[in-house]
Amino acid sequence: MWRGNAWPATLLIAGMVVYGLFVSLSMTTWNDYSRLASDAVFLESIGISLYVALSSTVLSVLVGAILADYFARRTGFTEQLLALPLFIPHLGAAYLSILYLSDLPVIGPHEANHLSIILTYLYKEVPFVFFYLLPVYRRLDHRYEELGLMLGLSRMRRFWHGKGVFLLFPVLEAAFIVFAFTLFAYEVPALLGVTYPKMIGVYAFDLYTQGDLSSQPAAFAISVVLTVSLLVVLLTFTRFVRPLTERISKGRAE
Amino acid sequence: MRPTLVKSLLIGLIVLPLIGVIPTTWTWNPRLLDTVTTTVLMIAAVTLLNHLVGYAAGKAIAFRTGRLIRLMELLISLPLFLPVLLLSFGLYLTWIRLGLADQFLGVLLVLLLPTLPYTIRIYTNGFQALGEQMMEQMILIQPNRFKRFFFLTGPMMRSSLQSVTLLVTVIALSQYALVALIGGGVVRMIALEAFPLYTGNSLVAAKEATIWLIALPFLIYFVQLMVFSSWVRLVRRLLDGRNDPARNEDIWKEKGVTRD
Amino acid sequence: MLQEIDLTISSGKCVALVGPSGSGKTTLLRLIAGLERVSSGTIHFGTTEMTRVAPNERGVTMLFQRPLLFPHLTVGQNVRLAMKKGSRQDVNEWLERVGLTGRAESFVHELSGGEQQRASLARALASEPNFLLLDEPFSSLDLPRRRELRTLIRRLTEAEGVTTLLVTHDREEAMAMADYVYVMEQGRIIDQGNPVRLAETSPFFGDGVHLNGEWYSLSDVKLVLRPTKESFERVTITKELIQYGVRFYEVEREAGERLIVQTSETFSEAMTAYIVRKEG
Repeated sequence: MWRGNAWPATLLIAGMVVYGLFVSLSMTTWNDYSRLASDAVFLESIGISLYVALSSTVLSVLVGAILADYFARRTGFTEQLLALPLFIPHLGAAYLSILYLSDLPVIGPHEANHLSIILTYLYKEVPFVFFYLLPVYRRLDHRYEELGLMLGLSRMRRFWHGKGVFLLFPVLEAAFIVFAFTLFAYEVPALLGVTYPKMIGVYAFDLYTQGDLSSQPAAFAISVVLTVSLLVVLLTFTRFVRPLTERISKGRAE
Repeated sequence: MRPTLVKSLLIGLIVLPLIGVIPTTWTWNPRLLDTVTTTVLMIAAVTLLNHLVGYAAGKAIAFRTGRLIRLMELLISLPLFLPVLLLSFGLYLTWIRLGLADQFLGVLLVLLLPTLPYTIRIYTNGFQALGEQMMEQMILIQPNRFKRFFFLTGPMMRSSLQSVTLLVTVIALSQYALVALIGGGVVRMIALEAFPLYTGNSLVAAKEATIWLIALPFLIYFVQLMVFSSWVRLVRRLLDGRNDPARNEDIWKEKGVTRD
Repeated sequence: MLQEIDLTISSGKCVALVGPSGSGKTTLLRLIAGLERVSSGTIHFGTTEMTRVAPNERGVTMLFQRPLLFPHLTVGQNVRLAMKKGSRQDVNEWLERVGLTGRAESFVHELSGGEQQRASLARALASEPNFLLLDEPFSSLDLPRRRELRTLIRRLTEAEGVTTLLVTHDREEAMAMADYVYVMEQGRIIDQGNPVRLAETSPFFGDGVHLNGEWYSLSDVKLVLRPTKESFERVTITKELIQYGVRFYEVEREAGERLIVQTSETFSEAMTAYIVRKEG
C-alpha cells in the first residue's frame, strides 16, 4: 500500500478527457464532419497551425537539444538562466513580444508569417526542452561512443549507435509535447496572430463562444477530429517506438 | 563555443528582455485587485489537489510494475498530447448537467488537466531518484505514514515538492481561455482581467498585469521556501534536541543561562 | 597525473598494469587507446609514432568493466558492426569461439553478465585489432566467470597474435594472465617484471613480512617457537596445512591478516609463534 495509488489521478484525467470527447462526439453528426472537410476556412486554419507548430517544434527542439548537449558536460550555474522563462506565463511572453516586436517589419505581431508567434514560443519552449533533455544527456555513457570510435564506425553510425538511440525517445516525446501545445494554443495566437486565417485553437474557441448555436456543432466536430488525430499519432508512436526503448533501458549499462 | 560567449548570448536573449517587465510607475488596477481573492484561493486549491493526487500517482508509477500501471501512465499523460481547450467544449456541457458550470469547483477540476501530468512526472522522477530501497528502509524505520512523510519522505523530496508548486502556480495562473469558458465569466481569475489589456491600447496596463502574473508564483515560491526550511529545522530539532543533554547545554548557553 | 612512465610491451604478449585505484593505470590505458590526450611524451606502436593518431586509426580496441553492448541491437548485430569490410569471418563463428553459439538473435538484456562480457569480447576481437586493451573487464563477474573469461581471452589472443594490455587491481589475475607486469602507484611505475618472480620479491606485489625494516618474501622466513633473532613478528596459529611433505601453518597476524608460513617445528592451534628470517 505504500507504493502509492494512481487511481485518483487516472480516473480524474481519463474521465475528463474521455467525457469531453464523447460529449463532443454526441453533439455532432456525420454531416458536420463532411462539411468540415470541405470548409476552406477550417482547412486554411489547419494549414497555418501546422506551419507554426512544426516550425516552433523543430526549432525549439533543435536549440534545446544543442544547449542540453553543451551544458550536460559542464557544471556550473549558467544554465539556471535558462530557467527564467519557465516562470513567465505564456501571456507574459506574449507581452514581451508585443513590447519589443511591435512596429518591426517581418517579425512584428499580426504578420502573415506568424514569426512573432514562433519567436514567443521559442522563448518559452527552448527552456522547456532544455530542462527536459538535460538529465537525459547527463545520463549518457560516453564509453559507447568511444567504443564506436575504436571499432571504426563512421561518424554517422557512431553518433547513432553511441548516442542517438538513447536520445531518440526523450527527444521525440519533448517534440510531441511542444507540437501538441503549439498547435492548439489559444492565448498567444489570439494576441499575436492575424484575423485570417486564425490558428485552429483560436478559430475553434471563437466559434464556440462567440458564434450562435448553429456554429457549435462545427466547433465540436473540430474538437473531435483533432483529438482523434493526435490520439492516433500517439498510439502509433507508442506502438512502434516502445519496444526499441524497452530494449535500450533494459540493456544499457547503468 | 567559449563559455563567456554562451553566457552573454543567454543573458542577452533571455534575461535582458525581462527588463521590459520592470515597472516605472505603478497603479493598483481595481479590477485586477477584485480578482485576487478568487485567484489566490483557486491557485491554493489547485496546488493542494495536485500535490495530494500527484504524489500518490507519481509514487505508484515509480514503484509499481505491470501493464496496468503502464496504461495508467499513458492515460495520465494524455492532456500533454491532446487539445485540452477543445475537449473542454464537451466538458462544459457535462459540467452544466452536473451543476459545476460557472462554479469554483468546476474550474478547479478542469485546471487539473493541464497541471497534473507535469506534477506526476516530477513526482515520478523524484521517487525514482529516491529509490525503492530507500523507501523500504524508511518504512522499516517509521511505519506510520504521516510521521514518515513529516520526518523523512517530505524533507527528502522537497525539491520535487517545490518544483511542483512552482509549475502548477505558473500554469494555472496563465490559463485564460479555459477559465473563461468553464468559469463562464463568473469565476473571475486574474488572467480574465489581464487578457483584454493585452489587446487594448495601454501597454502600461498590460505590463502591470504581466507583473501580477509573474509576481504571484514567485511570492508563493518564496513563502514555500521559508515553510520548507522551517519544516526541516523543526524536524531536526524534534529528532535530536530533546534527548541530547549537550545540545540542551548549548541552548542554555545561548540564552545566557550558566551552570552555576 | 602520470609521471615518468616508461613502458614497453612486446608484440603478441600480455602485459598487466597492477595497482590500487587511483594509481593511474586506467588513465595510462586510455592514453594508449588514444581516448585521452598526451601532454608530454610519445607513444609508439612498433616504429610508428602514435601520439597524435586518432583512436580509430591505431588498431586498438578496448574491453571495459561493463560489457557496453549496444542495447538496441542483437548480439549478432553488435558483432557485425565491429567487423571490417570484406572480412571473411562469419558472425556466428566469432560467437562460437566465445561459447555463445546460436545466440546471435538475442538482445543484450536476455544475456547474463558473463555472457554479455563474452559477447563484448567477440565484438572486440571481430574488429581484428592489433592491440587489445582490457580495463578490469572481470570486475562485475563472479569468480568462476572470471576464470572462464580469463582463459578464453588468453587462448583467443594467443591464437590471433593480439597484443594485450590488462589493467587490474587483482594480483591473482595478473599472475594468471600476464607475461610481464608493471606495478603502479600514485601515477608512477614502482616495479616491473615477470609475475612469478615479482610475487616472490616485490614488496608491492607479493606476500611477505617486514622484519626490522626489511622486507622478506614468505619463502625467506619460517615459524619458530622461540624467537632467537632480534627481529621477528608474533603471530597466532590458526590452521595446520601439510603440503608436499613440508609443514605449513596458516597464521594470523595482529592486524588480522592471514599468512601461510613454512616451518620445521610443530605447533598446535591458537599457539603463539614467531616469524623469523631463514638462515642461509
